[in-house]
Amino acid sequence: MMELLFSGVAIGSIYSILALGFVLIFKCTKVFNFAQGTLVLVGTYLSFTLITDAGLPAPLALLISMVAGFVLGFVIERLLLRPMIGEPVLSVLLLTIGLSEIIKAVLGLVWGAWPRPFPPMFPGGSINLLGQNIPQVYFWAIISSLGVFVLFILFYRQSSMGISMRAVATNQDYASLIGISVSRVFALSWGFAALVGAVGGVFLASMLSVNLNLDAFAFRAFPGAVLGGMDSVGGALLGGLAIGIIENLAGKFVDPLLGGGAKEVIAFVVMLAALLVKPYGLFGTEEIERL
Amino acid sequence: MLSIENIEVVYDEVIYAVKGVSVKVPDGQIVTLLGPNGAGKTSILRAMSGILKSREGEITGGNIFLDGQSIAGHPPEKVRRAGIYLIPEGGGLFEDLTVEENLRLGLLHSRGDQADGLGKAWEWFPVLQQRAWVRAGYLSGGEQQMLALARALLARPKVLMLDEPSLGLAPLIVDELFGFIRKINEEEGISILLIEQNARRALAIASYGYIMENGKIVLDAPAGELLQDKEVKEFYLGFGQGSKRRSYRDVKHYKRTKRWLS
Ligand SMILES: Nc1ncnc2c1ncn2[C@@H]1O[C@H](COP(=O)(O)OP(=O)(O)OP(=O)(O)O)[C@@H](O)[C@H]1O
Ligand SMILES: [Mg+2]
Repeated sequence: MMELLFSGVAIGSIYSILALGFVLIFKCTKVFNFAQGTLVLVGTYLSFTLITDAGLPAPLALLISMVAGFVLGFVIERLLLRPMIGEPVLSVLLLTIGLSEIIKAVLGLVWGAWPRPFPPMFPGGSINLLGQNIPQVYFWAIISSLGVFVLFILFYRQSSMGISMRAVATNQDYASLIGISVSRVFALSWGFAALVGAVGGVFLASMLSVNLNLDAFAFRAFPGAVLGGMDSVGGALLGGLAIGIIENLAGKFVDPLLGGGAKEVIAFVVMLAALLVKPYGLFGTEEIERL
Repeated sequence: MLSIENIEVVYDEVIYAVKGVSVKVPDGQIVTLLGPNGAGKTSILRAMSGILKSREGEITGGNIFLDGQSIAGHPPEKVRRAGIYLIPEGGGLFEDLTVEENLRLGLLHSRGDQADGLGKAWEWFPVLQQRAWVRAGYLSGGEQQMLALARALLARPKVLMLDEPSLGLAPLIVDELFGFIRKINEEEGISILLIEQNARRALAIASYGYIMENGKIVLDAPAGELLQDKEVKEFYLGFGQGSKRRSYRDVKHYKRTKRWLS
């Protein structure tokens, strides 16, 4: 039981990072980014190549992928999303879906569709934590996730840029009146989302393998983002953890009853149930519309 | 000097809200623009600060100059960086952000002394310092207007524009607020364009006033003269008593006079 909980927290902390990607974009731009999963793929494949083909040490490869992801996200916003400002939500949503398919096709062409093992980033074996032996990769996933969240929370609370981004999230008109470039904040949000996507993706691939279906896996973090309220960084952390734990429990206790499948959909079931009860998620900002 | 020349504003391509208005705000002065609901006062401020677009509005004629440079049609962040700062109706605060965070945003693109940080705001408004960690949305209406003013103080613009700051505030708070507006003007040398419905108080601190109705300026004069003007007294300062009230221009305004008494 403890073991189940630990692995749930480990997977959950990766879901948290992936959920953060959805939140960072939604918070400022109010766009549901259905290309988030493929942004995760890009970072993962890039790290993979840098390690296996270029022979770079894993941490350096991850760092480069994060920077590259940031640039990619930034550019996508500039080129594709910017012209869509003011267009109906549905059009923007369809655009991100289309974008996602295109990126995936390109990745398939470059790297091929078959799964490959991700080069081990962490020492094998396990580590003793609170009297439990847990795999090294789990341990590092939890540590990295905490690190990412501490950094982002500090950034949003302390830095002028972070406060500006929250200002845009609160009221775009007021933000521009005070001299903040709203379009720059949008581009930054996309950059950061792709950056954290690369981190989440590398951990995901370390536990599974590098393959083109990781984006579907990454998408299972979406309910975590919704549970957390879509616009709350802390909410993404808790939402992601909750999904990880719930999935593990469902896999253990429900799957045997149904003959499998529960683990894969339970996150979405929980999301629907939660939305019915609390439309703004557990930590989301309730709409205070003032005219 | 801020100079608005013959500006026209149209919403949704058919609604003519401002029909050729000219207003001058000389350096270091307080100028007030008065007028009843729907006169087009806010529309002029929107035109200047570049936020018409997000309201489906556009400038269809005229121009706006700051120190000789045209700023008409520029995006809001650019207008702000050029030195024009708008406090919109309600204060324009970020309700989810704390008092301190709101103030820090005032330092963006400030022409003032960055090293002093928030010092000046705390010094002028000690009440705000006590509430530094409170979310702006939880402040009282008066405190919110003070915070909006404190942020403008830190922003140190050339021209500060305020849209009906007295709206919904108790008379005593309005006195205090107008005291600060005058102080910002006198001690910081910031020119002010004050939009108000509270004509008496606005004219008391302004050096020049414009009166606007239906998208046009119907009267402009030094504030002292407006305060003495017989018709202004009657319709805008609430001195008119007789049962046959006439409007300044036409009878449509009959119903509006009441709000001017506040
Ligand atoms: N976004 C908009 N779309 C269409 N019409 C608008 C819009 N905003 C204002 N108007 C119209 O333009 C005219 C001027 O409005 P404006 O808000 O500028 O007046 P105001 O003098 O600020 O009034 P108040 O004292 O009530 O704030 C009004 O007739 C109003 O109905
Ligand atoms: Mg108005």
